[in-house]
Amino acid sequence: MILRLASLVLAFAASQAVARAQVAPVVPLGAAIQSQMNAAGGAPAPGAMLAPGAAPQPQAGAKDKPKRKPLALDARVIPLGGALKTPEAWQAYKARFVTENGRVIDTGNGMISHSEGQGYAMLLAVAANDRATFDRLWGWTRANLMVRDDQLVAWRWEPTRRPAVADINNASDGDLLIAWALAEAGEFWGEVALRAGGRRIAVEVGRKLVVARTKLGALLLPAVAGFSGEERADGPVVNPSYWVFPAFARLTLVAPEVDWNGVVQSGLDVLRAARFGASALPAEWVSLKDGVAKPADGFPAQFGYNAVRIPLYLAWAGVGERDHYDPFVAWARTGRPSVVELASGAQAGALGEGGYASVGALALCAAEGVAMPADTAFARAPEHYYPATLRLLAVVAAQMRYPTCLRG
Amino acid sequence: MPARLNGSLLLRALALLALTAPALAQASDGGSMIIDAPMARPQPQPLAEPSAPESPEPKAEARAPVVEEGAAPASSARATPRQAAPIAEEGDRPDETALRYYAGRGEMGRVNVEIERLVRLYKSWTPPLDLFAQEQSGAPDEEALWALFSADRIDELRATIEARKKEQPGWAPSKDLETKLRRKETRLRIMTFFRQGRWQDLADYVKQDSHQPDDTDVEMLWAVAEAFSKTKQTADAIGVYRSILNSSSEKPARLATIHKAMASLRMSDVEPLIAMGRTEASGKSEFAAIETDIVRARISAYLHDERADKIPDGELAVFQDHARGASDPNQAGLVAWYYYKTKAFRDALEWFKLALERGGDAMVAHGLAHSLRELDMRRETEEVAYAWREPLVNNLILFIDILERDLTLEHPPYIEPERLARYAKATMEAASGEGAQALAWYAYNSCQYEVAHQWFQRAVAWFPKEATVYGHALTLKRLKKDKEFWELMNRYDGLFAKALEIVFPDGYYHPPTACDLLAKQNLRAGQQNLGAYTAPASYAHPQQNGMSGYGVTAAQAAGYAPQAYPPAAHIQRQEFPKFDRKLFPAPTDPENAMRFAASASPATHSPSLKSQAAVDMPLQREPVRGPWPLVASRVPGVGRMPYERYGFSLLPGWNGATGPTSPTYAVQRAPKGTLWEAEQAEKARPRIAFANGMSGVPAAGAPMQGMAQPPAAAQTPPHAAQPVVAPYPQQPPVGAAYAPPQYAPPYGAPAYVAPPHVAPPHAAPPAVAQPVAPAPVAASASPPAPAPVAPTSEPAREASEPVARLALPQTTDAGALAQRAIQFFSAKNYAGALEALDQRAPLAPETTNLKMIRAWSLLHLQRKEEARGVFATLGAQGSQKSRSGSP
Repeated sequence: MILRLASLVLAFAASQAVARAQVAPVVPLGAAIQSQMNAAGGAPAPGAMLAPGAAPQPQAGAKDKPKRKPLALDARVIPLGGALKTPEAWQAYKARFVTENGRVIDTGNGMISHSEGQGYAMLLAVAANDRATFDRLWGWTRANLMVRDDQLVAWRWEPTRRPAVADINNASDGDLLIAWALAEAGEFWGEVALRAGGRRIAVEVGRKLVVARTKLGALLLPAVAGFSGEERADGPVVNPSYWVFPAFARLTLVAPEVDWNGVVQSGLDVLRAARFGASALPAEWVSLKDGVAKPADGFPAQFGYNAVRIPLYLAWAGVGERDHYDPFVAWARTGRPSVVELASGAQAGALGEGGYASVGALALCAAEGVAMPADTAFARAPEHYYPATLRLLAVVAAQMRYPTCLRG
Repeated sequence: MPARLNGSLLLRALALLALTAPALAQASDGGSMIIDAPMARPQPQPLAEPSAPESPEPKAEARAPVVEEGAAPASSARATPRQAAPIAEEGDRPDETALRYYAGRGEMGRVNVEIERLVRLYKSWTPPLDLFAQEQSGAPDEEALWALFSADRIDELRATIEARKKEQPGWAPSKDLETKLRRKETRLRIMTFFRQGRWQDLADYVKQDSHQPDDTDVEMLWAVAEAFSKTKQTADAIGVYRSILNSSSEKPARLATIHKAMASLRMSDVEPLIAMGRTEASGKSEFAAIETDIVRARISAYLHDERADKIPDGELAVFQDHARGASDPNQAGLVAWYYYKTKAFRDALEWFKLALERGGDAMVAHGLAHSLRELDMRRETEEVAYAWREPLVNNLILFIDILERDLTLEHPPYIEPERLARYAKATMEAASGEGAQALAWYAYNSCQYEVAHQWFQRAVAWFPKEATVYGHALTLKRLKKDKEFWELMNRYDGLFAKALEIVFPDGYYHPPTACDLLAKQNLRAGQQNLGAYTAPASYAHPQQNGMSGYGVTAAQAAGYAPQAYPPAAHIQRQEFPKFDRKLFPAPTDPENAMRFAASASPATHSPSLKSQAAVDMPLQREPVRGPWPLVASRVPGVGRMPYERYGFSLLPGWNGATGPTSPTYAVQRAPKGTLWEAEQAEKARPRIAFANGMSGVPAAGAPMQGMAQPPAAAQTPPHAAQPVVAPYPQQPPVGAAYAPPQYAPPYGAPAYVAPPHVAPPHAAPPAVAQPVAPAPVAASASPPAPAPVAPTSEPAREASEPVARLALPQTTDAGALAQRAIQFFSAKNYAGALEALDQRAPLAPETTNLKMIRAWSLLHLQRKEEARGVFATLGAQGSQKSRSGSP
C-alpha cells in the first residue's frame, strides 16, 4: 500500500510540478523509489529497453502451442445486487474496515480514506444486500468527499489533517466505482435517489474525463487535473488500472449516452500497447503521447499496487482476449505475487498478504481454468484494507461469473 | 447549475433506437423474404428435397429473415408464379438431384412437377434420357442413406457409410451424396455457430480452406458476413456482402443484403455497397425500394458521429414522410433527435411533440424538454420534465436543475407555492444536494432563515460544495447559531476560502440584501410544512434599485465569483477582524456528520426482495479521535485562504505543496478532447443563460437511449393526495397531452404544449414577479423587471437562426450584460464595460455595483466629470456602506 501511494504521491507531485512550478518537488518517499529504480537499472529511459512491441512474449505464451483456442469468457451482463454467496466474509470485512459513520479505513496507510475505498465497500454492500451499511457508506462519501463544485469526488481524506480533505483532485477509478455502486444499488433496491446520484457522477466522468478520438480511442484520464497533454510534457498519461472494466456495462443503467463501449475498447487497446520488458506487464502510469505507450516520466516503471487490479477487472467483466491475460497469468503462475521492475523483469518487493494472490488466482482460473483455492473467501491471517478488499472483490467476481472456479 | 445537454452524447444514445429499425422493417417484411429468398439461389437447392415427402413441416431453424431449408419443391412451386422470367443465366445447369430422386422412387406425379419447374427455369433444358437409369456408384441402395441425409441425421449417416465401407470393401457412396453431404455438413455447422452466437468459431471455421461455404447459399453467406463483422474482420465481412451483390441477380436477396450490411457494419462501410446498386429502367437505383431504411441508417450514423455530412434535404423529406405516416413513435423521434443534433431546436420540438403524441416514451419527453430548454422556454421545460420524472431519472434531474437557477437568483422571480412544494418533494425524493441548496438560497434570499437552515443542512449533508457551505454559514450567522457557525469555519478552514471570508472580510464593498433593507414580512404564513421539512414561502419582494442585479445568483452577488470584484482601489486596509480567538482556529472534528435520508417510499418491487438481506451488526467506532490540528494544511487544487493577507501561513500539503494553487481547480481549463472542453466553447452561445449559475454544477440530463420505460401501472400518480398543496387553478391543464400515460401534470402547463392553433404565440408567462411596493429610488419610471421566465416566440426564432460568431454575441439579457460588464471591467477593458452597461441600461435599472463599475470605467477613461456625476448619484441614493465604498 505504501508503495502504491508512493506512486500516487509521485503522480500528483510530478503532474503538478509540470503544471505549476511552485509545488515542492519529489517528496522523500519518491526519492526512495527513485533510488530503487536506479539500483535496478531502470531509470525511466524507456526507449530501447521498454519499447512496446519489442517485448518477448511471456513464458506461458511461449510454452503454449502456436495456435491457441481463442478465449471465450462469459461477458453477459450480471447484476451485482445480492451476488455475494459468503455473507460472513462481508461481515468480517465491514467489522474491520467500516466505521459506524460509514468511512472505510485504509489500515495499511495511516487510517486515511479515499474515494476508491468508499466505492469498493459500496459495491460489496450491494453484493451483500446490506442496505443499512450502504447508506452509511454513501452518506459519508457525499458528506465528506463531494466537496468539489462538480459531481466528482475528492480522492483523499486524512482524519488527522485540517481540513481532512487532503486533495481536492478526483481519481477516476474512485468516481467510476462509486457511480457503478450507485447504479447497481439504484436498480437492486429500486431507489430513484441512488440512480440519480449515480447518473450525476457517471455523466460527469463522461463529460470531464473521457478524451474522445485519440489514437487509442476514448481515453480515460486518471483525474481532471494533472494528466492531460496540455499539463504534462509526456501527456496524456493514463493509469491502466483505472479502467474499471466491470463498471462500464452497468453504467449504461444510468448514463447510456456515454460511449462506455469505446472506453472498454480503449482500455483493452492500452493494455495491448503497454507491455513493457520481459514480463510484458503494464506500467502503473503510462504515457500515451502521440499514441505511443511508454512508462510515464517521474513514476517508477513498475507493475505494482495499482496495476495488480487489472486482471481482477478484466476477469470480473469477462472481457479481453487471451493475450490480454497472458502477462497476468504468467505473473500469477510464479506463485509469489510481487511488484515487478519492468526494465529488468526483477521482483521489486513481494506482495506478501494473501489477498494479492487471490487476484492472480482469479485470472488464472478465468483464462486457464485453474481452480482457485477453495478458501479464497477467508484470509488465514488478518490482512490490511487493500489486500482484504482485493480478496473479497475477487471472490464476488468468481461467484458472479466463474462459480466453478471456487469449487476446487 | 441547470442541466446542460451535450448534443453528441445524447444523440448517440437515441440513435441506437434507429439501428433496430431496419431489423424491424425486415422482420415485418419477413413473409415475402421467406418465399423469395430461395430464389436467390440460381440453383434451387435440392439438398433437402427428399424431406418434403416425409416431413412436410420444414424445420424452422433459422432466425428471421428465414430462408427455409427444404423449401423446394413445395416452396419453389409457390414462389415460381411470382417469378415471370427464367432466372438462370445461360449455360447454367439445373440441379437434377430431386428429379432423379423422385424418378428413382417412381413417384411420377412429383417427377412431372419437377420437370415442369425445371423447364420453366431453364429454357434450353430437356429432361435427361437416363432419368430412370441407375446411377453408377451404388445409387439404388442409397435410399436409406438419403433418408438419413434428408432428416439431417448427419452423424448417423456418416457412421452408416463408414460401417458399410468396412462391410463392403470397395464400396463408396455416390459422388452426388458425398458432395451434398459435405456441403450440408458445412451449412449445418455454420448455421449452428450462427444460432449459438459463436462468431469467432464461425469465422475461424470458414477461414479453414476445406470449408468454403457454398457461394450460392445467400442465407449462409449472410451468417458468415455477420460473423466476420462481429469478430471485427470488417474487410472480410464487406467482401462477403460484395460477393453476394456481384453474384446474385435476385432483387429480394440484394435488398436483404443491404439490410444485413446496415445492421452489422458502420454506414461508411455500407455506402460503397449501396453504390453497387443497379440502375433500373426508371433511372433510379434498385435500392430506392429501401430508401427509407437507408436514410434511417444514415441519420443514425449522423447521430453517432459516424457521418459528418448532414442528410440531404431530399432524403430527409423521404424519411419524414415515412415518419409522419408511421405509428411507431421512434420514427418521428429519430427525426426529432436529428434536428436536435443539428441545433434546429424548433423543428426538433415539433417532431418530439409528434413522437410523444404517437406514444413516445420518457426519453422522447426528455428530448422534448431539452428542446424547450434550448429555446429558453424554461417554464415549459420544467413542466415536461416534472411530468416525466418518474419513468426516467434524467427528467427528474432536469426538473431539479432547470429551476435551480431561478431559485438561486438573489432576487428570484415569483414562484407559485405549489411549484415550490413539488420542487421540495422532488428534492427530498432524490436526496438532491442541488435541489436542497436551491431551496435554501431561495429561502435565504427571501429572509426565511429558519427554512433556509433546514435546507442548507440537507445540502451540506448531500453535496457540501463551497457555495453551499458558504450559504449555510451565512444562515447560521443570521440565526445566531454560533456554535454551529464556528464549527463550520473550523471544519472547512483550508478548503473553502469563501466561507472563511465571512470571518475575514475581503474588504470589498458588498451591497445590502433585500432582507437588510426591508422590514421582515410575515413569511411564516406562506411556508408549507411538508412533514419533515418545509417549503419556503414564495418570494414576493420588489426588485430594489441600488442593489445587485438581475441574473446574478446570491453567491455571486455576495462576491463569490472572483471576477465580480470591483477594482483593487476599493479594498480598504483592513484591521484583523475582531472575534474571540478561542473560536478560531479551534480544534474541530474534521468529519462532516450531517446525514439526511431520501424521503422516497421503499420500493415494492425490487430485485433485492428476492435476496437474503445482510445481518445488521454494530460497526466500529471511528478510531481516529483527535487531537485535531489547529493549523490548516495546503490542499492541492485550492487557492489562498483569506487570513493569509494578515501574514498567517499554512502547513505543507500531503504532497509537499507549500503554496496555494493558482488557478484553482474550480477555474481549471478543460482537458482537450473532452466534452467539457466542447461545452466551454459552446457557452459563447447567448441562448444558454446557464453560465450565470454560480455553482458549476455540471450538465445533467443528457438524454439516454433505451432507458425509457412506460410508467409501471403500479406507480401512484404523483401528488394525487398531497395534503398541503391545492391544485394550482390559474392554468388549464393543457400540458396533459404531453404527460406520461398514467398521469396528467397536476399543475397547468404553459400554453405552448397545447396544439399550436390553441396557443397564442405570445401567451402570457405563467409567472411574473409581482412588484408589491414601488421601488424606493425610482429615478426614472423603471420598467417592470424583465420576467426571467417569460417565454415568447422571439427568442425561439433567434435561436434557430445561425448565431453570428462574433467575439461576443448579441444578447438582450440584462443579467448576461451585467456579467459582461463585470468581465470587461476585470479585464481592464473599460470601454467594453461601458458599452455593455449602456446596452443594459434600457433593460433594467442599474445596480449599485454596476454603477460603481460605470463610474470607475469613466474615471479610467479620463472622463472625470461624468464619473463624478455617477459617484454623486451613488452617494445620494446609497446607504452609509455605499458611501464608504466610494472614493
